[in-house]
Amino acid sequence: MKTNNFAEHLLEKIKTENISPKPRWHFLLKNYVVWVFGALALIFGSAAISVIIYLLKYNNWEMGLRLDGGFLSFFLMTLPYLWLIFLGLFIFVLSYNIKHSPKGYRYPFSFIIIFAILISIILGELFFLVGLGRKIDDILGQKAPSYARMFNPQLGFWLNPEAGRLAGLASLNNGDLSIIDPSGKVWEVIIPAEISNDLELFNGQPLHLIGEATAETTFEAKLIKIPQAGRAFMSQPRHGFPGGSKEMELKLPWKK
Amino acid sequence: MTQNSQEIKQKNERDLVAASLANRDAFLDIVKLYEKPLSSYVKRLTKVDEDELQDILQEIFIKTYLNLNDFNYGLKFSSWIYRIAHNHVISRYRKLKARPEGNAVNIDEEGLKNLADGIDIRIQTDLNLASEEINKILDLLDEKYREVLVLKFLEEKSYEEISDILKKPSGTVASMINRAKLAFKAEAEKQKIKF
Repeated sequence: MKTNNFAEHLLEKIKTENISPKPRWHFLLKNYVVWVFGALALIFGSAAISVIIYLLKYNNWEMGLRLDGGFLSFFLMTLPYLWLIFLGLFIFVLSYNIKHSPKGYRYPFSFIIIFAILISIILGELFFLVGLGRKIDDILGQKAPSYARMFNPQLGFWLNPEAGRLAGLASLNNGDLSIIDPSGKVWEVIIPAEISNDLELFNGQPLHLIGEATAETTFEAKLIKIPQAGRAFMSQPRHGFPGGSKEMELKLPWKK
Repeated sequence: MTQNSQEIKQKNERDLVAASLANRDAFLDIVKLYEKPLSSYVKRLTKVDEDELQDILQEIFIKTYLNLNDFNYGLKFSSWIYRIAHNHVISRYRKLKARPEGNAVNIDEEGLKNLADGIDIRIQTDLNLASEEINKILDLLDEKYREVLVLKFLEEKSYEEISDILKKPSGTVASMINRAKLAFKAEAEKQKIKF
């Protein structure tokens, strides 16, 4: 092939072999796939952030300050690690898709990751404000089999009477308070006079307690707080709440 | 098609893409416009004989034609076609599991001047010898350093164009060029070539 005839030879080859440009939709489809995966990663990542905000905001931080193990231990033990892992994964997928968008290569990957984190936080905050974080936590609390272990480590943290932490639903009988923990075990709770007046308790109210297990089924409370996250999990009928607990669930204030 | 390269250059390259999509004869203008620049670019990246060069060029232009609908009108066409050429050469050598080595393309006076100014060296010998020595050093450089020096100083591409060709951020391109300059000087010293 002579160089001066190169162009003509090439055109001839294109004609002879009937080569034609790939259709535009072929490339558009590729771009759309990148954008769709990016958008999904953004939505899921933001949803994860809304749950993280919900779990952290209602982590009963003031109780953490009163625990014997110290605040740092409380903080580390109640962080929603699984949601943070999900978030990291979705941030990575979003960043990868931005990087592989038609002009994504023009920006450093570190810049893209920071952008992805910021946009996910903004959207996540909006999701939280419209109640998505709480909704997801409620749904998972009712339906996810390993909710307390995987999605809400706060619950696992509070379900440790030997360490002075108890969580469950309030059961009132003639002014005496019992706690039914998620395994169905009933705890008689001794409430010191100085804190009893601060509480407005009702049947089915989820509670976190700091204190001491003084006997097999007796817990002496030093501090009682009303939790937010994990309420749906604790109020499930399978956890043995008296009254089967459909009737009782209807009385729960967050289900009104 | 009798237009020469100068006349074709007057035309908007984007119009050429649209025209080629409508009528494949119009693609001839693109080939005529880029045959020479791509030929020397490919030669600077690879050590191939004339026949192999023609094969590589043909493959690059066919790839360009096949992907015309993927051309992003926000880019310069030259950046896009250089990107195709660059990717083709790299993937070809990855398949062969060989390191691409530049061919001894004679560097013209302007290229030598650009390179010398850019790298901050003084050419003290005659131009032919300097061209030979520079080619020798470029050949010995890491592929990524040779690429950016060729694009910046011999192909005279801007940072933005190199960014579009290599699909790397401009800042990364700038630091690669700086590292490439240092690597060039270090290699010259190692080879005991004085500038």
